[in-house]
Amino acid sequence: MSLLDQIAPAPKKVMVLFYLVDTSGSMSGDKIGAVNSAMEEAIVSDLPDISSANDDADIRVAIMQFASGCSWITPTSGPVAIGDVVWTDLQANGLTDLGAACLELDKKLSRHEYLQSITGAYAPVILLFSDGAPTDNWENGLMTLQENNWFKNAIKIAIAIGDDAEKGVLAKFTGTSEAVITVHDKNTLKTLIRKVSVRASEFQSHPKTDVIKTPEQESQDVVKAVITEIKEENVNTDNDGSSFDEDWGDW
Amino acid sequence: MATLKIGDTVKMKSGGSAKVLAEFGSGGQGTVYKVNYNGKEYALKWYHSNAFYGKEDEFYTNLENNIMKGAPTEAFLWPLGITEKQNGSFGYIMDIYPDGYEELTNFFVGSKKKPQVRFKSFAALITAAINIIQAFRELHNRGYSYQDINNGNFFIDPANGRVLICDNDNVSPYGTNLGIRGKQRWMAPEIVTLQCDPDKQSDRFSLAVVLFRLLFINHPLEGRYSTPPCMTKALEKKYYGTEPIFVFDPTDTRNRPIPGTDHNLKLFWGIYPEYIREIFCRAFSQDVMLKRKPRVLEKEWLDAFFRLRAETGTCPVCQKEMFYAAEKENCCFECGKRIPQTARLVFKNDSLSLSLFTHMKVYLWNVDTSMQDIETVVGEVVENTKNPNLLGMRNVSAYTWMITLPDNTQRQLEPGSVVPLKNGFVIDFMNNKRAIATIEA
Ligand SMILES: Nc1ncnc2c1ncn2[C@@H]1O[C@H](COP(=O)(O)OP(=O)(O)O)[C@@H](O)[C@H]1O
Ligand SMILES: [Zn+2]
Repeated sequence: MSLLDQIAPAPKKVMVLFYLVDTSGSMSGDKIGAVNSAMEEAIVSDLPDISSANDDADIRVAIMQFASGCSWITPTSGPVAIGDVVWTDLQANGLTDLGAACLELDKKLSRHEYLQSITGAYAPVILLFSDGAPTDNWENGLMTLQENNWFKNAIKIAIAIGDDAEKGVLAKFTGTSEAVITVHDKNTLKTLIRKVSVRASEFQSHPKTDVIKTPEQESQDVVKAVITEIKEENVNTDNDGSSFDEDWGDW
Repeated sequence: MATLKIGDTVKMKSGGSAKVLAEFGSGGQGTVYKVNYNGKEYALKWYHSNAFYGKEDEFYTNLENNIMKGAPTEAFLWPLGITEKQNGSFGYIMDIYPDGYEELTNFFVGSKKKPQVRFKSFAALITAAINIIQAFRELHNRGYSYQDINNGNFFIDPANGRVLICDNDNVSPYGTNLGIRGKQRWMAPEIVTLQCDPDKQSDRFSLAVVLFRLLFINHPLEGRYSTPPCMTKALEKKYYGTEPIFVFDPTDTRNRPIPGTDHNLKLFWGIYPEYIREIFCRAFSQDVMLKRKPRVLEKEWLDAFFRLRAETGTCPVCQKEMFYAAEKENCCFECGKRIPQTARLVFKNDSLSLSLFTHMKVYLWNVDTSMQDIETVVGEVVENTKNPNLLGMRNVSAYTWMITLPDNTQRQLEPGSVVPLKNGFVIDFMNNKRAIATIEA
């Protein structure tokens, strides 16, 4: 065997995509159904593409659900390669313990926990999916989380599912209302999950206008770019009419 | 129409229209389609309408100019024709790249689905380096700069080192920038810090990164010092912009590779000759990175890599490739066996001496760089068919050589003939009294 056959992949920094999914009772029905199918598609088929031929970062995911309390869907040992996620459908019931979710996330946003890596890590990307008002003492939880340096530097985007989502709360989480996107239908949700994940973890050539931005500006720009892209593709307009807020029951 | 569908047609500026046959894939700036135009298949790059950073008209005009002037070398997958503007967007056609080429990225990463690509030989690797250097030399000689050199722009055949360079849409003449800055980890420090627009000099920094990574896989600026637990934008600016440190900086050891991530560096840094390590140390020295001293020129890279190509041969013990240094006894880096010193070819002009081992090839570049030729072989070391211990050099060039013997008699050597490797023989390769070398045996 020649020395050339002994090469190893180049070391690269880890980039973790965190998904926090609200599975409280109000999400039941088509909302959780849409999240399930959108996440499954994104994670099983679209996202492996961005991570396999990527020299820029080792992209990994960690998925948490929160309702009455919270738990990790991905192994508690730490974030996993996208291709290794096995999606099992989430069930919706219980309260909306956003505060508990914040505290749990705070624990894992540490170089001794989920961000352990000898090659270092990029600031993570955190996507929050929720439809409603938290029921626990979420402000305390969020305040603790906001002291976390990883959180401070993270790209934070919230996806408000349906019009009754408490967008003020989500904006507090992301740090800016510009990083909250409201979704009314299934197709857009699917597109959003894919595009936001791809955009936020994308390392492409920068234009000159791209000076150093705050994490909030960056999150905002990702949201803006994604909305433009979706408009270009006309996904919004030709949805099948399955708005979450029309009470058409489970189907 | 932001994206195209199969069956759509787009009008070409020069007349006729291109019909979309299939989609190749989509990147940050646009989507690439397979199209038919005038009965031939091309790749059409179709831009997202937000891809131009507000400089849409300049971008269009620049592409038109580049198409008119034509590709600097065959290595460029150059724009061949531009479409008319259509609903705020447009695109250009280029050749479809042939089979066998792999994106540079795939030499750095591997997955279960697609294993990491490796060069079939050091000769192929060195040829790839030479092809890349020469491409940018010709590009720069024509007054252009590329401005966005990164791992997504190069396609390389790992079997023979052939190179194709794509995404030539930011290539601009001296003094022009269309809004592009470059890709993180590939940009020159002065671009990272926003001190300058990308230009020939920043291309040269990025070229050094490409060459380093071809040989050593790992990134030249990523070691202990530049690996904080959490990489933020502000820290990126420091480690790649204001205070970059080479992992093998001869004096500053702060950024040495992190154990456990240095497999490739341990494998390869030591096996290359000193002059290769030196030129990388210079390219990534503080003075050169921060532009207090000039960047390494393409000509200097070519000299180094042509010397390396001439020194790449086969180990007589294990039959694998090794590098033959002329000035000393060699040790094969594959089997570790000592290889006795060979005869040498000592050039008059630039104090280069090359080891003369069996099958060694002398390139025209080695004897006369002013010919600008990176392909032609002029001489090859051969074994005598009756006595393999006797070596000679065959004239495989188109010129008749003039050989001067130690007693000052002269003899002509026609193309195809062989001169024995005898001490003191002087070869005038082009019969012009410039490209002259002496055999030491
Ligand atoms: N000339 C070509 N022939 C065939 N495929 C191409 C050609 N140019 C680009 N592609 C393919 O099209 C896809 C998108 O290319 P591009 O837009 O250049 O990507 P990026 O913006 O990521 O550099 C890639 O998958 C690439 O392999
Ligand atoms: Zn050997």
